[in-house]
Amino acid sequence: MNASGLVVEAEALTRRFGDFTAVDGVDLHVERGAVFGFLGPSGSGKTTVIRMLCGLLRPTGGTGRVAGFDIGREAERVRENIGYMSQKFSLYADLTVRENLEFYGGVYGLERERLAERIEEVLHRLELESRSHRLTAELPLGWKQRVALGAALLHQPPILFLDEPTSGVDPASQRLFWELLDDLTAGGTTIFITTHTMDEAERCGRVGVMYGGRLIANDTPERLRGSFAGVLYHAEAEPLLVALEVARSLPGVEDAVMCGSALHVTAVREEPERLRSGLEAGGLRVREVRRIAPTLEDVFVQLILRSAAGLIEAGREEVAE
Amino acid sequence: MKEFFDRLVAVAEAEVRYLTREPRTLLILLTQPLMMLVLYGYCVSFNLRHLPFAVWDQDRSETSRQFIGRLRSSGGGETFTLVGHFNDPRLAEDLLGSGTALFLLIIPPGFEERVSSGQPVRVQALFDGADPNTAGVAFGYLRDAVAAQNARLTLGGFERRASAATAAERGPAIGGVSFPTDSIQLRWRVFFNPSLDSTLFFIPGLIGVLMTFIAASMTATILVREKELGPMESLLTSPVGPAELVLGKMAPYVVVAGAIVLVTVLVAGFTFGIWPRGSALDLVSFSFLFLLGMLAMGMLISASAPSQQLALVAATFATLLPNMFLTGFAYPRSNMPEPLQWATLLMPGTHFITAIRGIFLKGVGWSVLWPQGLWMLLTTLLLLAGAIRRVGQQMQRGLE
Repeated sequence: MNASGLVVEAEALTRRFGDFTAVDGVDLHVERGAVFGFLGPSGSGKTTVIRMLCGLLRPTGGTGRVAGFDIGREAERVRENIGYMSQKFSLYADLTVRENLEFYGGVYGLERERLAERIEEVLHRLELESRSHRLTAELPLGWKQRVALGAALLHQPPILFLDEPTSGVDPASQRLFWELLDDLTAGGTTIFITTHTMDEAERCGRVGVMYGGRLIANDTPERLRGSFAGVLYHAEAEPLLVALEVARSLPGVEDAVMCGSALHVTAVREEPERLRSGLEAGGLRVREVRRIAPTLEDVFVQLILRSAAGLIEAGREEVAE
Repeated sequence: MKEFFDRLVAVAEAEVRYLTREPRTLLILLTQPLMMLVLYGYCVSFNLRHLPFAVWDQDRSETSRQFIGRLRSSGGGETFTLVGHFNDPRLAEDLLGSGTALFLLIIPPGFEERVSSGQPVRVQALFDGADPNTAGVAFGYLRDAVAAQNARLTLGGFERRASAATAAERGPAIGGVSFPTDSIQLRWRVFFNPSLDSTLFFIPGLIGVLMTFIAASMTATILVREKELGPMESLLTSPVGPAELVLGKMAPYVVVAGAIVLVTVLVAGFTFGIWPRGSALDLVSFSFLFLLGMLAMGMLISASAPSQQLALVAATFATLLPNMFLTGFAYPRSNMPEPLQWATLLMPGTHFITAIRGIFLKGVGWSVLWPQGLWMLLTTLLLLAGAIRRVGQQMQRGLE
């Protein structure tokens, strides 16, 4: 750990696989005790960044430091300071819950007594006591993930990397996870987590959005919401699919997306009447048009659409040249 | 009908893609027949060549040297190979016990004198009977070679006598040509397996071959399995080092493999009545050394193979075939082309088969088999180091 309190630093971190650039010049700085949320569609490079930071993958460009150690040259020191929970199932299916924890504790060099103590704590904290003698293979996914999280934090690492820990997990386990993560950060643990859900992203101190291998945004959830460009309307009209087409063609409308049984329409200026009359002129039954505050999801969608448009534009220019 | 072919083509196309995407599968499929052809072609031959023998020439005369020289050049110089001279009866057992020589010739003093005067002389041949087939065939060759020399001597003697008779102006009445008894008479003894029982010979070697295969295939799937099923990811982000991983994963299998050897030895003893003549300690120490190497080889395969299936195929391929064909388990190594013979010396199985046969059939131990032991130690260490290095490289690169 260095004087600035940064525990994860990346400068122009890049990873290529042949011709394909999975991660393209990512800069990251995460402070001690922070929860850093990593957002982005599948294939945007989130997991690749995490794998590089954990020393599972070598960067092909740029540098990274975790807990003050270089991820390329000092991967072993990095490993001593992190806990990693993979997206993939990474426990021994044929061992019981307790045996898995004993194994991972042993691998991290916990002493026998300390290990026994920690296992009890973790089992208790993750409400796994009643299942500790069950074979891991027999557990439902939510419980398996609890064991995996338990294994990752058994040795009390200062930094936890969690790659989609809650995907496919039941709400009860999800709630338990976040309570535990909040307690850990209160104790100074830094958490680096990838997620697909917006309410999880809202719980992070800082959110980085990945798209096409690039970090296209990196800020607090609040400031990200504030960065929304334009005015957002919630519009209910029927038929919905026609309404989507009509809304997109209206002047002053930047974009329109479906959101449940309604549309979220982004307009350049605040002119709700113009939007309503525009939709009605298209022969639609308009039930409601009201301005709403953008959620993180709206920001996320906008960021990605803009970024995608930018990439297409860049591609066109390249072709034109 | 067209739809039938369209679907058929789609299925075939997908399979071709799969095959070309994993070239290692294809490579194994292609090399398998080639390797078998070479192995069968070179090793499976019932004509024996280059049979190693050693000589104790107690006569040290022109004639005895000539006798040895003719043996060496018989069969166009291909049949026998002289591996050395000795002059101490205590060395005899070591030479046969270590497998350096298949048979020993002892030429008695006064050989030249008796041959030139046409008197019978006994040459002793001591055979290593551990491999009864080879010993039997070798004895046949030796008998023929000696008979050829006798014929030459007889013919020479007859001509000499005939010319002497002419000079003496007619000898005794000719009552037909009398062929004198053979001058060089072969007396032979078989060591280690006097009844030339082939089961006795095969069982210890079989234990060796099975050990190779079982040990290597036990560890071959370990690391690939973890890669396929997931735990490897967590292991790679933990502070576990490659040596800890390799040795830790191997340790339980050393015990399992040891138990398998024990059971095999007991079964061989009770069902075939074949018990080791040598000491149990020798058997245990040689087996341990060998098993360790084979388990390490399995780990090496495991660290390199892309899938569990392929790992198993590779383990079978790397152990069963070469050990059956190249180690002298079924076919004498002396028969193989020389470069191949040198190559077989690199294989730990070759030395283990020699050692386990020595311990079982000849009752020899470390004092005779130390070169085999030393080589096995070296190969075991190399395989271990290789496995650790390979795993280390994989850990460095992660699971790319």
